[in-house]
Amino acid sequence: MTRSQTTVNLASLIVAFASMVYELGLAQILSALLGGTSLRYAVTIGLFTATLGIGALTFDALKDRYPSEVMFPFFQNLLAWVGLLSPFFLIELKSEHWVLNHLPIIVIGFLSGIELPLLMNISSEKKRNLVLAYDYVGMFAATLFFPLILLPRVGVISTVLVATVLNAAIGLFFMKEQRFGFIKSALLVVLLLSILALINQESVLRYASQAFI
Amino acid sequence: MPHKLLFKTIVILVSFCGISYQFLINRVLIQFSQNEILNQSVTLGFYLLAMGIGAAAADRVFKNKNAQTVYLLEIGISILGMVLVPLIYSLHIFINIFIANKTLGLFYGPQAVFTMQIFTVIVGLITGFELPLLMSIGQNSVRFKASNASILAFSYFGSLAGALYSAGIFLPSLDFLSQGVLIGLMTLLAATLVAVMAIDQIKKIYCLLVLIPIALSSFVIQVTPKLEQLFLKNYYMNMKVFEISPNSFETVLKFFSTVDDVERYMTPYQVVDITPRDFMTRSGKNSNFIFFLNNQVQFGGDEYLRYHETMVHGAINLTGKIPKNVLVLGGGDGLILTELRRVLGVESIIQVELDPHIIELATYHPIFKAINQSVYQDGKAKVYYQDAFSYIRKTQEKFDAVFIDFPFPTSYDLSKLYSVEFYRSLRKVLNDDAYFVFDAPVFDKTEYRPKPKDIFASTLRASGFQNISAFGLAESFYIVSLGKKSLQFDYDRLPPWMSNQTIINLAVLNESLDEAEVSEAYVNSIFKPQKFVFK
Repeated sequence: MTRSQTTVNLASLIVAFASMVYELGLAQILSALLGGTSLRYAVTIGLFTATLGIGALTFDALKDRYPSEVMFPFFQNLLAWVGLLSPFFLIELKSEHWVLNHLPIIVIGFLSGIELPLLMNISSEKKRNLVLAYDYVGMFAATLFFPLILLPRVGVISTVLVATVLNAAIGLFFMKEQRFGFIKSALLVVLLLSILALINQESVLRYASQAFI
Repeated sequence: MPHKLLFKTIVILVSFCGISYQFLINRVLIQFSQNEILNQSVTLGFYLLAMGIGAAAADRVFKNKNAQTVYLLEIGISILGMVLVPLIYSLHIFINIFIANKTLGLFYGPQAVFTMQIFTVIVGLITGFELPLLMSIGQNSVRFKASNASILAFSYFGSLAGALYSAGIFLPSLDFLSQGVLIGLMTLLAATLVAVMAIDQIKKIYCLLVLIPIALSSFVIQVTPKLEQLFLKNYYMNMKVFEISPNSFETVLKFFSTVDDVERYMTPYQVVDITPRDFMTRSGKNSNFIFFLNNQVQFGGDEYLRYHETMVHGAINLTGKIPKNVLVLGGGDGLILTELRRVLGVESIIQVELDPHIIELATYHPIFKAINQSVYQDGKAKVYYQDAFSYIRKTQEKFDAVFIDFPFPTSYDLSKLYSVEFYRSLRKVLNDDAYFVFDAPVFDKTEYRPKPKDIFASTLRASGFQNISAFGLAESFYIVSLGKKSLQFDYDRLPPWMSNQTIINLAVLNESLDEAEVSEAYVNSIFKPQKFVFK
């Protein structure tokens, strides 16, 4: 099955936006939990780029085993679930264990690292640079939206939820012609859960606030 | 060194330097915007965008994808690195003095964060150019054979190292100018390694180019102290001259050279500035000194006594209770301890301060030693070097009074210390009938909602506190008491040695506080930070 180039480009933009939003959101939560914003952002960005690289290397190993069209929704599903759970994981963790606290950043970076080469693979050979360019634009957009609009107006948890909605929706869009199976159902569930949490964001905020102390 | 290892070292160095420049620009620009999160995000965004464009355009821009091109690019970026901070400083000085009023402030204040991104973009573009070039060398050369994936991976590892380096994990803090020189030298090292690796591909004459960054670095190191002083003096004085001419420029320089130096100390947590005696600041002449943290004024020689006397003796007088166990959060200058030492009946004091360097300054710096009466040398207070928030979340101790002396919440980073989560955690370390005090403005001229007092009142109420008052006409404080009694000053019981400027400051401000709008929407949470607008 071939996809229109526009779909692939936009998907690249949206998933990159979502990944960057996760990382900035998690950096913000970690800085509240552990203190030291400067350090937290630097470590997050460093780990994010490093795990992006490992993800890209992993894709090299996976690309001949499974078709990209199958892998892409699979990884969107994983990303959406990890994204949805990670703020709550960090809040409930209540430990200063370095590895555990940075685990969500590492996992999301790794999954995002696989995602870009997947989309490049789905795209037509000649337009791959374009997919890359949209990816960068998506990340760039996130770095502007996050501090200027999302964090002050929406709050950090709802911001992460917006990203999970995006991942789940893109995953479902890429599976729209397929029958319901495990992945498609899981995507639907994570989408509904995220929307539900967004609708009840006041209670989510209250829960997070209570759980934190 | 084997060729392949050499090649990978170059790949790591290239991305290490790229991301380190990005972080350096970020830290320099925070001085203008005072907004950590906006700064970090925007600078990173522009860096990534430029890198992407560079990577995508490299094919078209460079016909010769060989070692010589990489060498020249590295020399270029090394030169830029040397002059990066001097350029930003000079631009800021020049524009601030001569044309700030005519440029809509594009190079001044928060807008500078966006304008100065031109430097991030240049660094990002060049770093972006290099990755495809290195990949093509790795593919086509027999000696340096390396797969694209492995080059990508090493480049990412370089970024990680750069990020950790920039976070201050590997190096104690240097001033920004020297940091630029250091990264510039690392870039030069990368260029030299490229030359060593492929000397046969590089024109002999180009090898001489390494001399340019070397010469520049020694020049920048020479002018660093002067340039930094010029920047700092101008930053705090905010001088304006309306005529651009060599003559007026000379006059300005001459004037600055007659002013005593601003002291600057870099710590891993903050930048400490102390302006000297008789220094003209934006708001007038200071007497002995003014103490700044991250460019925000903390206190000066004129008002420190009023501030700390009001906070400690004002609170004790208002509540009528001398606390036995006291917790001091922040306040590494030692001045709250100095006042507490004068109170009979205080049995134990614990202080929690994030930054050991501040306490070091307070212990050894002549200005601080004089005003805090060497309070840290008697060792009466137990000092923990820790994040105050983590401390109150974990400690089992309970206190009768907590004195909170944090910088104003001008960034999201600081606003967590004024959050509903913070106050709820604080509630757990308070004995029955205890109270806590923090300094924050009660009066304001802004119509913008929420006002700071709306946020404080809403957040404190949401944290379960009922008895909230404010006091201090010129230097105002919030006091929250667990007792039910309404708080009033008992002027007859004020200590006889209290200074006059403190006594006239002592008034309850509850009328102004009653005007605060309390709303759930104004509650400041770490998960949904409020923006504090101070005017």
